[in-house]
Amino acid sequence: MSLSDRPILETINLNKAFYLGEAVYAVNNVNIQVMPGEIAIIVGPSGSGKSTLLSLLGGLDRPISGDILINDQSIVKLNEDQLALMRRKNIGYVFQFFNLIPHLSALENVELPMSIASMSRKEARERARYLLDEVGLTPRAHHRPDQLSGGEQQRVAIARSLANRPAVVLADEPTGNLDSKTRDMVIDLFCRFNKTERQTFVLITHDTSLTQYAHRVITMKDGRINTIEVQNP
Amino acid sequence: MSSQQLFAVTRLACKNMVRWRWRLATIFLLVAGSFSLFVLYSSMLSVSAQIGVAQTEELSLPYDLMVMVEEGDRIIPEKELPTPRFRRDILEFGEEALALSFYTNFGRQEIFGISEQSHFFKVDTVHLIEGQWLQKTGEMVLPLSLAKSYNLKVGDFVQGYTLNKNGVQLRATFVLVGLYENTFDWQHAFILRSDANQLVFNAQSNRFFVEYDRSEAELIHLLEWMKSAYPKATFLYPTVTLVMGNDLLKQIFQPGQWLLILIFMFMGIGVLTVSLITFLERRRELAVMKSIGVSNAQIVYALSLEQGSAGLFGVLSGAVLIFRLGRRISWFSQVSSSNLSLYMLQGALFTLLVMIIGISFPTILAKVATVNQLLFARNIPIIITRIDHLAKPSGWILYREMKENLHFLKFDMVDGRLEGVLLKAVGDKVKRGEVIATQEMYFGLRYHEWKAPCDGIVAEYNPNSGHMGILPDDPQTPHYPYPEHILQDELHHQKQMEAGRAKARAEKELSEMSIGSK
Repeated sequence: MSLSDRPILETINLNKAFYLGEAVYAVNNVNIQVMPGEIAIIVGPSGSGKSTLLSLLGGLDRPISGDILINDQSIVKLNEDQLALMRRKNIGYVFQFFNLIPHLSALENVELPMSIASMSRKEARERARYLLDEVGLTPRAHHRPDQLSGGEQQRVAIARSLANRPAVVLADEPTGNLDSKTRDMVIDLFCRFNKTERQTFVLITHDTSLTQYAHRVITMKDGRINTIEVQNP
Repeated sequence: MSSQQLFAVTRLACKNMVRWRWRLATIFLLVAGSFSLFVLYSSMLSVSAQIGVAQTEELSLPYDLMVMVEEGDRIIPEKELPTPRFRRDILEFGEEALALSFYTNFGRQEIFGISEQSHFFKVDTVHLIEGQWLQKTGEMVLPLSLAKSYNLKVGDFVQGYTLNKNGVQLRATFVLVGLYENTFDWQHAFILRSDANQLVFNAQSNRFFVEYDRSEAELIHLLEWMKSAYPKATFLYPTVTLVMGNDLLKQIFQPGQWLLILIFMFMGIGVLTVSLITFLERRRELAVMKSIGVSNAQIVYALSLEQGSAGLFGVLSGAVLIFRLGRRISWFSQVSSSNLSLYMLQGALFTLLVMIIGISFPTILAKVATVNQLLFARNIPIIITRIDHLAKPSGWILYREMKENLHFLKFDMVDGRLEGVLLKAVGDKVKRGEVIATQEMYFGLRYHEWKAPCDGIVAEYNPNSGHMGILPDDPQTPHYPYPEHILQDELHHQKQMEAGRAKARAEKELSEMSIGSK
């Protein structure tokens, strides 16, 4: 098996439980694989465990058992600092509510992950400008998040997630708070970066119409994987 | 952290400072106010103490130290004095005397019965201005002021009595033979020791006058020595008033020390509250920082830099404020520069300590929390424990571990209920390291996690004791390496128990057999 045939993201018997009066398994024995250059979309109704799964994939939370491999490296046993380093290098994260740093401009928000990753300021600024240009926000580069619309903020968040050329970008309901026109624009961005930079994306959504853009559609129900479909978008 | 990362985080912290300027200004004001108040109040106490001591004069005495023993005690002969820590010949000269209360028409007088060859009280040392010094029994010498107040002259008779323990009066009459001038800070009447002995039952010396070798030792050494010899005695020496003055001032200013502590407590609570509130408002921002790969060290650095700067500027501004205010305060110029430096240093150190305490709690929370906890969790645990073996193994359970090859865990139970969440039941399969139970304690600040010690199956669970036994898939799975002596002791104990039980069984069977045969 060549390197490119290996999954870039893989979970093995992944479990996560919460205590809600009794133990509730939000993620129950989940096994998935995402190949390099794919757009994988995880769909399912509310409470099916999609967001929990994505949090685990991004190292934002810890599973109770199982393993997560990113580029064949297990992230479950990493300590917080190793996890931070892994996130810095391998994972871009797009939140549903954008989560930009409010007192930084759009340009500075995109620049920050690169500065943290020891990239020179000049290089970081150039790449941040390039990414903002790619998402069509060059004129708004020096605006703060509160001066941007929801769609613009989400595009800044996407640009930020791509800053360090991560192995995989994880997006939690990236279109959940957007109108249909902006939603299309954001999806178009994902598809474009997937094609031009062969960027791997894992998106979660309960908007099933987005599955047409995916190479792999994973359906979840009650914390378990219901179906996995591989298709050509 | 590389220099580029350091620069990036510092730049971010500077931007944060602009954003949270009013919060940081509050910390700044708290620190500046508390620091300047501390230094000014400490200075004020010190100046007051200096003035108080300066106004207390040294006593003028013809001796260096007088030891006054309590009634019933006696003066120890010089040779029997305990050995001092330093050289013994510090004591240049010692003289005993007997002090007694003599009741006259003029009231109660303390009279010293001294020897004829007194070293301290004689014509040369006291300024005799009329008459002569004591030469024979029945004579008395008085200070001039006392004689004047009682309208006595040389040649007059002084009548009076002493009282013994039983209240019996012993009467005596003395002729006034001399008057001396009060150049010392004491006023005593003097009679000869032989007269004094007649007036007191079981007459023993109760005063000891000392002259010491000033060139070789300090008075403090002499005092230390005498205090060890006479632990219950009272001492009079030239600087006793200064010492008493200092003690008095200490007592007066003691409440002030508490006020200084209160100042810093107030500051600490203020800083902690402000930084905790700020942390709660910044949870999302910190979560984002963590999610893009900012390490814990970088977050701690940024938070400490932001709030530490407010503290540092607070101390510096407080110092400027002290000097500005000092010009308008009359007593401030009397504070010595060394004292002022000391108080500033103390203030800065206390501020540092309080700032560390105030900032560390929210900083630790930011450090230990996962991104999801920062975003969603109500409580963020600071103390996290993960256990995959018996923490306090009991003998019987250990024995079962060895005998039945079970791997045990013990949960914290209250009234047969796990104070947390149990994720596995009997019959469930478990993987090594898999979380089996969790528990939150102390308002969510402590999080406890029990993990499976091996791959296997949950074989038993006792909800009363909280023990869960896991049967390993591979019987060769090693057990947790408990200390060898615990295992050996327990094995020995259990073997003895089993042997005892076997013996009891055998005896019972034998007795049953013998009853059957009968």
